[in-house]
Amino acid sequence: MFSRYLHCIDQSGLHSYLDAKGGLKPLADFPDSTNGATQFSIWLDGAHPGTHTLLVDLPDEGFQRDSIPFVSGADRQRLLTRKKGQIFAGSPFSTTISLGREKEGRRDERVLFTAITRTSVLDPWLLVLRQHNAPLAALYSVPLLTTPLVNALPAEASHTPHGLIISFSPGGIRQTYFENAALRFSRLSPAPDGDYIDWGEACLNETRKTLQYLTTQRWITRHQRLPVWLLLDPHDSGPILGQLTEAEQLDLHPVNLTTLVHQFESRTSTHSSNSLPLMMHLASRAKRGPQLAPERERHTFWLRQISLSIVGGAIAIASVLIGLTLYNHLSTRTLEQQRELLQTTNNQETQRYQQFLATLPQLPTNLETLRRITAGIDQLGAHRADPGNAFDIISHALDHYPDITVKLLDWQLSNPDQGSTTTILSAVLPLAAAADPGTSLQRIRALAAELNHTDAETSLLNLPFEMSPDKTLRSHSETSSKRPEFTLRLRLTKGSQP
Amino acid sequence: MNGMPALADQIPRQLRFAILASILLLFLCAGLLWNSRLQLTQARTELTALRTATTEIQQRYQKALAETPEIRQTLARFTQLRQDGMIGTENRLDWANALRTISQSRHISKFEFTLGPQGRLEQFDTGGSFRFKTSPMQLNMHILHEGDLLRILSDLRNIPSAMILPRHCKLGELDSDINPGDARLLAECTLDWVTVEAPTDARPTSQP
Repeated sequence: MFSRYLHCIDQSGLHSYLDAKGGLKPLADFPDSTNGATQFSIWLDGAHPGTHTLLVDLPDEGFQRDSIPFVSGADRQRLLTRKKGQIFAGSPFSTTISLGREKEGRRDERVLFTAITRTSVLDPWLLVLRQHNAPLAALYSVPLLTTPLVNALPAEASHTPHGLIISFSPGGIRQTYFENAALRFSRLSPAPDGDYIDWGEACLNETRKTLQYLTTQRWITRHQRLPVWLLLDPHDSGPILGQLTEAEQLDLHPVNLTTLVHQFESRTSTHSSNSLPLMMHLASRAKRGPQLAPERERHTFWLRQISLSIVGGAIAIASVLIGLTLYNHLSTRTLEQQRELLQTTNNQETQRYQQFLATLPQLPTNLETLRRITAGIDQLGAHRADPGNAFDIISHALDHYPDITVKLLDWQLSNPDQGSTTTILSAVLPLAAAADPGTSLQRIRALAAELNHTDAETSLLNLPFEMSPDKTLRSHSETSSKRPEFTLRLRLTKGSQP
Repeated sequence: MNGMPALADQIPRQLRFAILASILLLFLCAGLLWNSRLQLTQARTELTALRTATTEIQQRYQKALAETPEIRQTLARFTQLRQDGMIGTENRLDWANALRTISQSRHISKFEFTLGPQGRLEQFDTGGSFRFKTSPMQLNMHILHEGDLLRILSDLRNIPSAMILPRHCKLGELDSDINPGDARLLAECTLDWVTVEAPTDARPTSQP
């Protein structure tokens, strides 16, 4: 989607590479001139969008170690910015490397300030990038990549308190002095004439100058031996080492450059003692190390990073949502399969039920209605009552009282739900009984008692002779002229037998 | 409204596409997720409904299997009642003939009846389109003995096309002078003739 470009700037101009999986692929070279910047601009117009990393291999570098009070956060940043401005006034391409804290005194923080001191070499190229809104990821100088380089050297290099790395490039002979695997000083001397194999004498001269400088700075003593790692192609190693042995103070450690390149899994082919491809590889892989581009030059890059973060976050969330969607989809599929199986079972059960129903006789209505109809008829039949029962009871009772004559029988179904009945009996005694009310009442009550012997409930409603205090008692002459009449009520519940 | 352009202006141009694309992507994925949730919910609902239906059909089958003897028994009873005329439309002509036959066989000198209009018997609810109906009858007759009344009621009970329920019977002496062998009692009865009205569109069904 996006390409990564690495541009190497040296004294001859700018050399563009594409950082691909197969290594750095050369794209174009642009001379250090106005015409070169124009060509770079035209090339950038047609280039695929991507980020740009600059690697500078120039002699115009400054290194200064200083100590600052131990502060942190924004205060430290302000202090370092002010110091950089003081040390490298006029150069925005500066950075700092923390070297740890002093072991004595206030335990100030030791900081190495480094910068590209001749900004005019970079300005045309940066202007083109700025005009194209090309995201500048980082600006490195070769010395800034010393720490990863030292870590890649044989183990004694990273454990030695100090040492020197000598490397060749088209820009010249670079000598990088490091302490505890951290950059301390570097210088690039002009390239001698001839091939790398012929650079031995020049290399010896430049090394002696460096030794003298280091001694002057009191970083090493005059007779102290200094370990030196030479990054050379095996083909060039013999002649150059032969020259350098003349410097007796040096402990020489030749490093096979081809092996070192392969150690970084770089597929960049190296067939000479040119260490620049190795440094370009280190630059392309550097992530969080110090770099020289001011933040304003990286504005587009940061916007692009934020864009990528937003899109990346959205893609991550979208991935989760899609994952949940797929999970739901799979769950739905599983449920649908279960439903299909259950549907088959349901069809079979329905078919079995229908087949069974076909064997049953057809009903005029549903079974519940049939039940209610027959149950209702049964209930009516069970509670059906007629006068026969009451009449039988009365008839049996009157068999013992032949002198009593029935005048009226009034039977009524008093409670249809229970089948209970009420019968009113009106009867008379013989005329002779009128003369003997006591006997008459006794016979009437005896009849009532006779009727009462079963579940029947008998009550006297009317008597020929009223004896109750709340009734009217009439004279004997008034009642003796007609047959004494009485009325009683017989209540029967269902099932009462005579 | 003025706040929206100002907010958009504050977002660097390089970020706008990323934000817009991200929002669209998230909306799209959220829509897909929402749709999948709907489908899952629907699938669950359908499966639950199908499970319930399957269980119901199995229960109905088992219930029908268990009720088969009762079904046959009840249906036989119902069929008999329908054949007797107890279930169906009142056949008043048959009833009148039956009453005449009873009065003649019992040698009742005076036998008068009045059959009132049919009404609904609210006491029973069949839960279906069948209805319990009742028709009130007023019966007046001259009889020799109260046993005649009981025998006539017994005869009425044997009429199969209705459930005849005596409500009220009054038995008293006739006021007029009577000759030997003449009826001497007046019987007045109120009876309910209960039937079950069947719907005219009743169709046979196999479902218990």
